[in-house]
Amino acid sequence: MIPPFDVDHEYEQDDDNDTFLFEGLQQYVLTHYPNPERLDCLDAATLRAFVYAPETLDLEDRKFLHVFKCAECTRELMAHRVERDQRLELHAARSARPNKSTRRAILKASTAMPLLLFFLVLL
Amino acid sequence: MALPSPTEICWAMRSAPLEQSFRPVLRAAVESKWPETRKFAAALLGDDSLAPEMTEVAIERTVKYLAGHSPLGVEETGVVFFRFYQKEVRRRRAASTKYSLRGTASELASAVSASPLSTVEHRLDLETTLRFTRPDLRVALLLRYGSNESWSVVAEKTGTTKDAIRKSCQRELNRIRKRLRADLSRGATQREQ
Repeated sequence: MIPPFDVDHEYEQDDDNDTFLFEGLQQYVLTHYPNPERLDCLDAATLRAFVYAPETLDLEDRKFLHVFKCAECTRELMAHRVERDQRLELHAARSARPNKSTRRAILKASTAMPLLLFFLVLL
Repeated sequence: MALPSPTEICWAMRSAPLEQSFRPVLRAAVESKWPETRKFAAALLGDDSLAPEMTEVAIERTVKYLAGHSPLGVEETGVVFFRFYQKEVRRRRAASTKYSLRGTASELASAVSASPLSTVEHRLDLETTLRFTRPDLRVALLLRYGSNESWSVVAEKTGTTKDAIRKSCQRELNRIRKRLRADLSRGATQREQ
């Protein structure tokens, strides 16, 4: 049986970043503010900069409040965020891998180790 | 129409033949308090039209009180009578200011306005709401919502601390939470139905 959806509980259990709240808000905007005609929308470059380099934008400008009332802009922002997070993950995975010279040294050591052991046994 | 005099409204005493002894005392007490009773009713209820009716109630209670106690003078009787009178006025005022809940929960659906305009008016409109909030809070909320940055990153970008920025945005966050909670609860209720 599916347990009943307890909204109050969900809000009480929300994390330090108010993730549940902001996801709820996003869902609310997507549901309640469709804007297929893209009226007053921010341009594509601005939306991209919003996610990748928000410091380059003057977010004090009230025009940016439009995103709180536009499902289409919110959807674009979400797409950019997914892309950004994927890039960051990829970058993090690459950084975690040892670099070429370290890999070569490990390979050399792993090849030399049996030979060294062989000579030690012979002696 | 002129209000009846205290002697006319002392009918309660006539219906209590056993208490003949304190009838003149009570009449004198009610007559002495009559201007005060009208003034008190006007002050608390807005007008004194109900003063005679409330006086009758107060007289009835005073008669009952006096029947169980040793005889009192006009002044003391007046105090007792006026206390019962004040109680009655306050009771009526409380009754008139109380919300009356009529009908049952099942009738609520039909009572709700079907106007699409009311739906629009009750939407969470952050674009309008945040238009008049402090610019730094607007920026913080935009970064948190648009860029989906954590509060720590937002704090870093706005030159403050995580706790400070969260606390500053608390009023707006509570407003959003309240509105979303109502919306989600309504959705859950509709799903259950």
